[in-house]
Amino acid sequence: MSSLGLAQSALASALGAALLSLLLAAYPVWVRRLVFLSLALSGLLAVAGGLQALFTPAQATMLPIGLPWLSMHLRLDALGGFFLLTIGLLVFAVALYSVGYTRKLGKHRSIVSLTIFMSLFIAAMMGVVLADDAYTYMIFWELMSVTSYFLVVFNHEQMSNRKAGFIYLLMAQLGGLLILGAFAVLYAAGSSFEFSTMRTVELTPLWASVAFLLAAFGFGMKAGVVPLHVWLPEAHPAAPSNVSALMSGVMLKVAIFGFLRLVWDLIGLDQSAWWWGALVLAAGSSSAVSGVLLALQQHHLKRLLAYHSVENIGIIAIGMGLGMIFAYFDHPLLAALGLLAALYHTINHALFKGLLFLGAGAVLHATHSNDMEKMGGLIHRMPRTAVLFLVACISISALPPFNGFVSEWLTFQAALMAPQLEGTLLSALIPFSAAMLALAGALAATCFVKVYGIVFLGRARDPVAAEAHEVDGWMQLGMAFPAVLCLLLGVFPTLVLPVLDAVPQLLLQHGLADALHEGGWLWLTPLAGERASYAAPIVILAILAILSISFLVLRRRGGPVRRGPVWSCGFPGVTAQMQYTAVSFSQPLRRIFASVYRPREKYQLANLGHKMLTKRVRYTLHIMDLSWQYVYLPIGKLTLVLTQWVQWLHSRTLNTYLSYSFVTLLIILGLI
Amino acid sequence: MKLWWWNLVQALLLLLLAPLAVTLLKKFKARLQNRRGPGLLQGYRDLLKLIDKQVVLAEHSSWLFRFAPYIIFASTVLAAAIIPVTLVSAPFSLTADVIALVALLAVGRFFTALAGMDSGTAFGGMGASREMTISALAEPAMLMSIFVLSMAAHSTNMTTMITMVMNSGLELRPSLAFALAAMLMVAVAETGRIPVDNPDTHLELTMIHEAMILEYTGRHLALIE
Repeated sequence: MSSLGLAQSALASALGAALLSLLLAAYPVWVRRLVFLSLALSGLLAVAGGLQALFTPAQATMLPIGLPWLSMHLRLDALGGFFLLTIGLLVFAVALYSVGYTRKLGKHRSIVSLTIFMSLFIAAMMGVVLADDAYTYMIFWELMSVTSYFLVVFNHEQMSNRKAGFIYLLMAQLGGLLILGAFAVLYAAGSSFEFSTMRTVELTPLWASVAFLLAAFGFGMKAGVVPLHVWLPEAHPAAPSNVSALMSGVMLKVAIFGFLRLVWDLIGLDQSAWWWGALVLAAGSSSAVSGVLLALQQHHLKRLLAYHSVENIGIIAIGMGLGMIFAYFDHPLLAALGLLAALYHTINHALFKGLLFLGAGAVLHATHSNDMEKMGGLIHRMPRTAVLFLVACISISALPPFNGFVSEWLTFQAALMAPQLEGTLLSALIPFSAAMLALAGALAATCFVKVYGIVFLGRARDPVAAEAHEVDGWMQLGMAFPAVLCLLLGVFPTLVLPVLDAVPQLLLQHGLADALHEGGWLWLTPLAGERASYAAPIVILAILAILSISFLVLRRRGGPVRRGPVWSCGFPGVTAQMQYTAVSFSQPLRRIFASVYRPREKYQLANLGHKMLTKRVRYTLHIMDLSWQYVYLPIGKLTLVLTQWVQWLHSRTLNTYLSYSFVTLLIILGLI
Repeated sequence: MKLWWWNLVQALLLLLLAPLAVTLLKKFKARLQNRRGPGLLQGYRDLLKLIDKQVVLAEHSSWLFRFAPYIIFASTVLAAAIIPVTLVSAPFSLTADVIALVALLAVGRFFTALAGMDSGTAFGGMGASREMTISALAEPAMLMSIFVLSMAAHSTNMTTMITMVMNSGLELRPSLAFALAAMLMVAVAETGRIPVDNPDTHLELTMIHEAMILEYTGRHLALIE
């Protein structure tokens, strides 16, 4: 079957899943099994189609659906194929996971609305990737936004979820409007909705920049680039965990896809200005650092993960920005390196962030809580989930030999090529973004030590954690799949990157091709062997070898292990309550970055008549996202003032209304 | 192939000399304080003693607590194997460049911090929190000072970087001097020395590194030390 045929059948089976859940609404057991299994099938078909598209030339077709003069154009090229592959991998994992996850959910309420919107959501994402004209693109894009809104408000009984859904819908629509504007600019120049015409259109530099800015803000809003990210930490925790995994893992990536398609492909980098890449780079750097800084201070597991999505989208944007800068200054090889780094981080982030959200879902499923301060010691109660979650934590912290390290390493390599831009201002700015990336990586490791240490290690802080149970086989399977891929992508980047090389070849007419692994398949050498090399298989083999040698040598020495009580400083009675908490773990960084956080802390002491006899200390901490304070609240206030003014206009007497009409008439007459 | 063997020998040599270096440092410090200090072999004696002692695990710790010392040991030894100390063109240094080296050291720290959290005491968490805070700031600084060198050498491979520095002779580059100054400051923080941390402290509240490994005994402690 052709790549496009496979992709179409993936789309069709996702739509079929939506239909199935409608037909089987009366039989909840069958809904769960059949719908999710056909979604898993859809994921597999997408993987197959995407992979094939990376190896074969682009294929296009036309479906006679829609308005008579506007039929649907579908096309699958290497760029679309890569994103289809990413979507397919995670959809497959999430579908397996959902079979188990919705079992308990379905006992209390109908899950039909969940399955319908989830199937449509998945179909819409695939549709966006396949679209070959602006009309089809926008239809699928809006379908994606609207269905995900319904998924965010699935638990609509809670006020906070409805509020999160509203913010999400508002920003999604605003973003959609901006993207529509970008397409309008391209349409006006070529008067055709088809992408093939848009590609050839010549824009004036001014209009090209307008289209770029509209696209950058529109897609930035969806991807969650600072300061357009505020919907993200609201919407992700509100949605059911399997949906948050999809939203964070692949929906944000669809925005990245949209940006690449519109700016790199349709407008074309040959029409770009030097500041385009610089803007993307700056936005990426600030997202990476502020995302992780805000994540550090979150104690709600899924909110924390949502802020980490902001960070990782920032890292992807750094790679893309570097690519755009190098492309502008005519270094296609380096541009390809930047793009490859961004793409590799895209697929990596989809896998480990998907896995983290699925893991958070498993924890929520087992403890009915998202509050990190209540957990602890889950490694004893949920051993398998704990191992899989640890894999994701190491990957996202960019530690070898897992996949997160490889893509950040590639991004570093691209950034370190800045001296090639000798004499421009940018060659001084790029190392600054490399510093930001290094800071973000180190802070992410800190944050995930906190997450894993507080949630899985130590002792249970609350009965909910002490009574947790391991999740069922379906959920474990759904988590194991991305975990294995995280390891494989980390150890064998030399096998994966040549496949992805088709994308820069499409967008830049230039790939890295043989430079990638000139020293054999073991060594990853992005440009040349003497510049930089990394041999992940050797690293992991060496670690395993040293590990097993030291284990075997020392195993029998000193006799069997004994368990004893922990050191308590000489005072008896160490309890689980005395462990370090998530708030206290992040305290040093809260002090260091106080100017960013502006923490509002309050101590309330209750004493027994004398200040020395303290009975209880109550500590409250409030940290606000600064973008709310400086961007959104002022906009909100302005809107309020404007609407009040309009309100004032509207509450007059009849005489005033008549004078309005009269004045309007005069103005119109004057104009004509 | 001969180079590979040399590299292996170099790594083993570094491993064997490490306790000696620690003892020498202790001795030097003792002399400054008008004490005589330990004998030169004290480091080895301590290690052998620890290895033969029975392991006592913290009450509520998990498998991660027992596994962590091995991974910390492995990542550190590998990092030592990568750094070309005596050989300029060490083949092992091709398997990972400086960025990977920094990341390998971070793996060790990541697991030390997790093991500290696993013991389920306030000290473990306190040590982990402080260690990760300091490293979160020291690690980017270390990378930046390395980047200065690697941009000058157009490479992040240590072999190429060293060759570049050796070939360019004693040409004075102001950027390299700044990088060296930054690197020295970072090294103080990374190795847990005064004023960032004090390896000799016996007051738990001021410990960073020691607080994390407070619950370790026997062979596990020997591996970490």
